[in-house]
Amino acid sequence: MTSLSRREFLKNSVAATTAATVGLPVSQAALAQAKKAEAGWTWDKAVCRFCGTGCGIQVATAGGKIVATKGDPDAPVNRGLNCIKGYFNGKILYGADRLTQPLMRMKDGRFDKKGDFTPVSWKVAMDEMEKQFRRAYQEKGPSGVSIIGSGQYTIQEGYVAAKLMKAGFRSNNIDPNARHCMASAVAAFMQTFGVDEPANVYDDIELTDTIVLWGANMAEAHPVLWSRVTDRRLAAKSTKVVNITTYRNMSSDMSDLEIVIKPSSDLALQNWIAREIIARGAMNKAFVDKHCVFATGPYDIGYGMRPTDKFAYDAEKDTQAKELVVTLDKWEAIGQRRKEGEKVEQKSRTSAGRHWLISFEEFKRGVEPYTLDFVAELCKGDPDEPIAKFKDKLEQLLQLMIDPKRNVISFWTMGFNQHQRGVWVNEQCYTIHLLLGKHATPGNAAFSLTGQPSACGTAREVGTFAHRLPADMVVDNPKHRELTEKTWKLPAKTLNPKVGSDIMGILRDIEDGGVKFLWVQVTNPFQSSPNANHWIKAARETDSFIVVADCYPTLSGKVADLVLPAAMIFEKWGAYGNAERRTQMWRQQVDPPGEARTDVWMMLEFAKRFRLKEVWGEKPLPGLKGDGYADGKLPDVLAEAKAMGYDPEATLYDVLFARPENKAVKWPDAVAKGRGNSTVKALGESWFVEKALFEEYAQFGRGHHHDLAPFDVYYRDDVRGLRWPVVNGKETKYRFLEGHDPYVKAGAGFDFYGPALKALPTGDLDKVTDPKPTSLAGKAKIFFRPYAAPVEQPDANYDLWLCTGRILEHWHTGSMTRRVAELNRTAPTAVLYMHPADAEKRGVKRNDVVWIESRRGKLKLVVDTKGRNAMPKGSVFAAFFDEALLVNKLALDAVDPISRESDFKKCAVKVYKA
Amino acid sequence: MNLSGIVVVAAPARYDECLAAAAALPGCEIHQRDPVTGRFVVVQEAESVDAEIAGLSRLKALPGVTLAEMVCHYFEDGSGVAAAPAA
Repeated sequence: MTSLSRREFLKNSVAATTAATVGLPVSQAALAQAKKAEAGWTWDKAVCRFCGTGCGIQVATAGGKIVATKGDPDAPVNRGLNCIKGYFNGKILYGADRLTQPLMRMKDGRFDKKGDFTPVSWKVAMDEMEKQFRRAYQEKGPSGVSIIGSGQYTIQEGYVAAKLMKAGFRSNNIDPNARHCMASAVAAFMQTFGVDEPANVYDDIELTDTIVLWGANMAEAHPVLWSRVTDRRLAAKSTKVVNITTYRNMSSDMSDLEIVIKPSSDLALQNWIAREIIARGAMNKAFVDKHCVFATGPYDIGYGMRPTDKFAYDAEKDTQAKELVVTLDKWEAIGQRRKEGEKVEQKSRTSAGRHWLISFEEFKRGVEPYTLDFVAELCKGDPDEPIAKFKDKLEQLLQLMIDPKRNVISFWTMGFNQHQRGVWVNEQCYTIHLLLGKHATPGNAAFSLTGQPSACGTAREVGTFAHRLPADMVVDNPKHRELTEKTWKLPAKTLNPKVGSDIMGILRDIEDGGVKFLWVQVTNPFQSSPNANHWIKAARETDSFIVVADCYPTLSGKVADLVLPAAMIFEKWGAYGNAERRTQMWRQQVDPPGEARTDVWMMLEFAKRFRLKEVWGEKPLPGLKGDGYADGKLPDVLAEAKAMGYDPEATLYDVLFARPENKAVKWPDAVAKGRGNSTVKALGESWFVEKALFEEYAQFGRGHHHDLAPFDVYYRDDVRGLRWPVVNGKETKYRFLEGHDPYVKAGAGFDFYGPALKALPTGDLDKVTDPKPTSLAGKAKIFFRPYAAPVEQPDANYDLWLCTGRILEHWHTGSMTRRVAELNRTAPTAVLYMHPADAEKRGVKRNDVVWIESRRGKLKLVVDTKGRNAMPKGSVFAAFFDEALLVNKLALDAVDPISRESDFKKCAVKVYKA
Repeated sequence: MNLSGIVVVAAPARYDECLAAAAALPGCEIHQRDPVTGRFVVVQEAESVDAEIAGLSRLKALPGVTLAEMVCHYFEDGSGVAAAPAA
């Protein structure tokens, strides 16, 4: 066949495959030809490695390479469609600058913090890593070492990392970049329902009438789900889409109602909706009485910044001071029933999550100040919009939500989660849906979406957070530790009861010398964390040792002392869990290039270098007090370990991972259908690491509301992931709903059975009045949370709001998607979206270069006044993907005091001509 | 050789117009058509991944096009993506 005819032949084949994938009519002859063109290829099902939607894809390999990818027509999530990011799944393995060998900073043939990156062998790399880890561990104990992981971890990677740190090194300093992404959603799930993760599923999109986007630009961030939303809107004419946002974006194009609000005013808007639901008799009283209670908590909770200005730049000190004392503005004062100008000491900053029961009458009193006049004036985000028009829009929104004939879905992601009151604003969304009785039923959902492919499946379910253990358990609960120690076969009191440092905490610890060793896996924290100047300088100038495992050179790699080349998605076995509780698995398709290795292999090899006697003796733990522990010390558990049959000379690899029961799970396995396993091969072992560790992990959830199916089931040809709990082979669509959720007993209707935080004292809006705990088993909480002003707001000097976010062509920090030159031409560098009048006021116009400066740093950006994002006067927007233009240098590192998630969405900046 | 199969959804009233505009784009051929659902399949051939993405962007920008997404992609020679531009 000549190349031309081969080309025509392939084109016809591509056309037939595309048509068949999305269900367009296609002839048998065309399909037969497509099949012929693909002779010698092996197709296999897989999952997209980019966002949290969890689209199914098909991957074809030939001659040890990936040769084609396509949307999976049988995947219920995306039904054959893919967005532009999905398309990179195959291509991304073959970037010209893939890392293929370890690189270490060296001078005169040895490690030197000031040296240049030099290729080294794995042995040299790991020898130095071991030496540096030991130095930090001996000097500081378990709190001196850390891992920053990711919602891009496979389930098995997260499990190995969590077990190695928590059971092996007895350190809780492991936290994922998911902390920056949906920690607020997690905390709100736990506080409201006592159990993590959504009740509903994507199927609800096709069953609903009103879809409300709360600060979620789905058209750019979740395009495949957005296509389901827009399909629904076109197919069912009564379906309405509302985009509540701080600026006009691509999601506005297909919305029926766009409501532009001021940053952080969502809290007030929600309280108005709650107030009106009650005032207009729209509350579903039967549902609320039977299944809900009312609750609130303290308001004086700070903003999660350091309590000292010791490390602050001079310009930062005024914002930082508000961590301890806040002067109430007019809006906060009214919303909290106080006086404007009152100085409030932030007394509850270390106990922000504390809450108590209140009566319905107290709840009503809480929402009472949020009248339409008050809320419209506070919330209206576009200064040019007439107030009457804005009020009319709020009324339309209210009608679309409270109409008893309409099903309602609220979707949100970063607009809620990256918020100084992120937990509150999540909780208040449940408040609205619960008051209406429109939650956890077909077509009715308050639905938290996620940004990363396994933010749910790994970061949350496995528990790679500083406070978590598998299956919703937490390190500071003695019963949870005991259960985990039993499952992991550890001596009692091996696990560390003190919550570790979260991601901002670890970065601050490096700056102040508390942490000396950091291993970064599957993420890019030095680019993706706010107030980045501090952490980059700290990493380079303290005596810390920073290891970064990645597949491409990233900013974090450049900041590191040692860079380890990592295998990518289809070069390893793995599993992800998406935002609708769907667990999906894939087989390894090809081998990693050069010396690149899987993260699991790296951790298991590292585990071989440490013996029980080094880690299970008595360890210093500053700040540990009570709970049956000596002050500041983790106990020696070696004697009990010996009694359990462990040899103090045994390695962490043997005790935690290569256990006899795991080694009995043999590789090769029929499920592989002849494919390789790069972890097993590099280890030189004959046990199926990913399968054995998945099954070990799955024990935690089975029988505890988190049931996963057996490993092999996910690889069946007729399975496209399963939504847990999977009980008796059946997945669960609606949690908490009788007839759907196997954990809900007949006759209950609903059962919000989550066990956490379900015995509470009672009080009024301001305080506890009766400390005696009342059980609220089976019920969900309807929280009252007042409006709270953002800690930093525009003033005379820094006179604009800055919001940061993601755009369609680039995923997260762009370390993978940014490798494609044309993508960079479409969105060449981070641009600064601003209103033309704001530009004119500063003597600049479209395509001019400007300085943008916050209290924390400054950089140059290119102005855009008429791109895809139309800013209201007073606000600017920049995406954070561009490594050369590090927008996160500007962002404020305040975090939600309950969830410890950072607020990337609001800080004050000034803009002037460069 | 980069070949991609793109599914395009056009507003029903503008189906023929979209079809003609898509066919006129460089490297684009129209294959399967389904006017009932407003959909058609474009096969695009491009020199590089970069050119392919640009082509998709052009399709998305056509007046009347409500959706254009790459569904299927062949890159038989295993050509990868370019290195990121130097910072």
